[in-house]
Amino acid sequence: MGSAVSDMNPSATGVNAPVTPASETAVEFRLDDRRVGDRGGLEGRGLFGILHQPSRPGPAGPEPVPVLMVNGGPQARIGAHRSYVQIARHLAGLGYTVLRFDYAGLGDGQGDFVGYNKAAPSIRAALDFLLSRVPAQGAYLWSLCDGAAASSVYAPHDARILAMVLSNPYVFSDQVRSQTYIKHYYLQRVMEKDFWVKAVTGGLNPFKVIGGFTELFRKAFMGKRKAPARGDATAANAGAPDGSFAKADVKEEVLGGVCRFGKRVHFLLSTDDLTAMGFKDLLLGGGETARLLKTGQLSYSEIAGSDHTFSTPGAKAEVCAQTRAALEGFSKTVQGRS
Amino acid sequence: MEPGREEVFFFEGNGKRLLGFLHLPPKGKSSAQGVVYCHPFAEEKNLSHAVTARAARRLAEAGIAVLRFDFSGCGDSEGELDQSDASAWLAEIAAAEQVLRAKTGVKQVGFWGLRSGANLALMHAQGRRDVPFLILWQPLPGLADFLRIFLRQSISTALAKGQGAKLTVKDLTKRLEEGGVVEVIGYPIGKRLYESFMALDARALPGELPCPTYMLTVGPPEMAPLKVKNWAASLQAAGAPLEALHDESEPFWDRYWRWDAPAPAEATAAWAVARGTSTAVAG
Repeated sequence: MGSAVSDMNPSATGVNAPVTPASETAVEFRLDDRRVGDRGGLEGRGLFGILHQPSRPGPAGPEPVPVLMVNGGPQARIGAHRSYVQIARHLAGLGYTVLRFDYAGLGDGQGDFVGYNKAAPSIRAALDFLLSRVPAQGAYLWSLCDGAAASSVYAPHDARILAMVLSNPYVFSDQVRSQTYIKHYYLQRVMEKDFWVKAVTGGLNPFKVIGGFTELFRKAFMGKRKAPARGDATAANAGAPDGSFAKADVKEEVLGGVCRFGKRVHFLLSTDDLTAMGFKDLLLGGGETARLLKTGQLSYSEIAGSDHTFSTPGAKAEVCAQTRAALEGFSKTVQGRS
Repeated sequence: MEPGREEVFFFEGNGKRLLGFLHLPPKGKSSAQGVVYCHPFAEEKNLSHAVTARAARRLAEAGIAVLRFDFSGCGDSEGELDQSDASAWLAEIAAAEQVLRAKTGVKQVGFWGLRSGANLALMHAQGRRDVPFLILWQPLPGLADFLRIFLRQSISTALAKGQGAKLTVKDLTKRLEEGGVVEVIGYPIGKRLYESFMALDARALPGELPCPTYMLTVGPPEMAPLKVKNWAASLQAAGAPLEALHDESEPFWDRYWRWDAPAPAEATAAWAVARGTSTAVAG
């Protein structure tokens, strides 16, 4: 645990007029790996973030449980097109204290990025810091894409996490990606007039189409393929620098994590996003997640017409509204404030 | 050697609350000069964030205090993009320079920028005699064309959704001129921003340099920005103090899952050290 670095003191420099009323504070804290042993020299590294605190009193009654936003792998704490900033500001406007931060190796975070499934020290350090600043016993997590994967892997190991909103969780192994393409792209594509016009007029290369489909079908339904070779484009595009998203066990890690978590998880799923649709297929596909959907421990809602990162004003507004509804739903069953 | 201290904070710049991140040199290296970093536009800032943070750490290790900051309407700073403009960003660079001087005591401040940030850094330094150096990473050939190409992405997005088949960039610029907002991959572009890019376009690549300048371009040879290279060559032919390097690594501001660009960072730090921007002292 480290200290907070608060706003610059204008009088200390003599060059600045007083800042506008502060509801956002730049903060610093340190990784503390003592409880997990040696994790590649991360101990003592500095992490940085923004703490959003409500600038006006919330409604009467118990104060809201704070929210920790866990960023996705390629993003800094601001999120794609500042989405994390805007969502955090919206939640702070509703009375929630929110911490956004960069985990090790991302954004301003010191050290090396070690992958979504090794983000535990960073998330724990952020949670330690957040709960040192807010009189609460626990927090909610909000995350997108492989930030949602990181949250799922970590959450079962930290009782202070009271519930989670996970947006478009990333579970794209080769197998899941191929199954999703077949269902949500190829099968829709052959229903479109344009496809058949091109097929009849010679606009399609039949060998390329059949070859591509055969390869997808093999990956989707013929079991695990061998590990991708170094430099394989699939692995290179699969996310984490160690290629860990190309491993078939990412879906087990994520789905297993949310099941083992044992508390409420609400998924926000974009309808124009293959990642989200692939995840939805897994969620509804039977087994433990289907059972937990029936009990209400797991739930989901869709952001209609949205892409993976909610890049339109309408989608962002819908994410804010559905997040609010989910958090208010959590609060009926959770007492996180001390 | 123990790494230098880092500090994150908000400061007031041109009436806005801006996020700053300061990298100090290691203990034992005095920082005679510092540098203010100016980030690129929209998603290029997000994608290049980790790379430039690491490059800033390399410069700090070499003895140069670095202040990175977010323009208003960008990153963690106050405001939204459609309420911002590039003229205000120039004023914010001046504010950041004062903050760096006040926080570190450095006597001289150079400027470093990436893409549009490089053009803004150059504009800020233009005409001054007290700027010790400039570091320009992949400056843009022009701000106007850059923004028009950026706007085109909203047409591509619409087409992918089966909408906007007849939309042109001209339609979008007309909408902006009339005070409307154009959403481009999640970034709202407004009239002020559009007009400021058009107004500053002529100053993007000036005919002279105010100080020793290091220009680094990155990417495959076939993607080399010819207009920028020709601009640099003409300056060098006229005797301007410009050193240019092309590195064939990936354009990291345009790629996901990139954390580091060691070659550009090392080359830049080596240039800065060679021209004596830092001084080792006992301690």
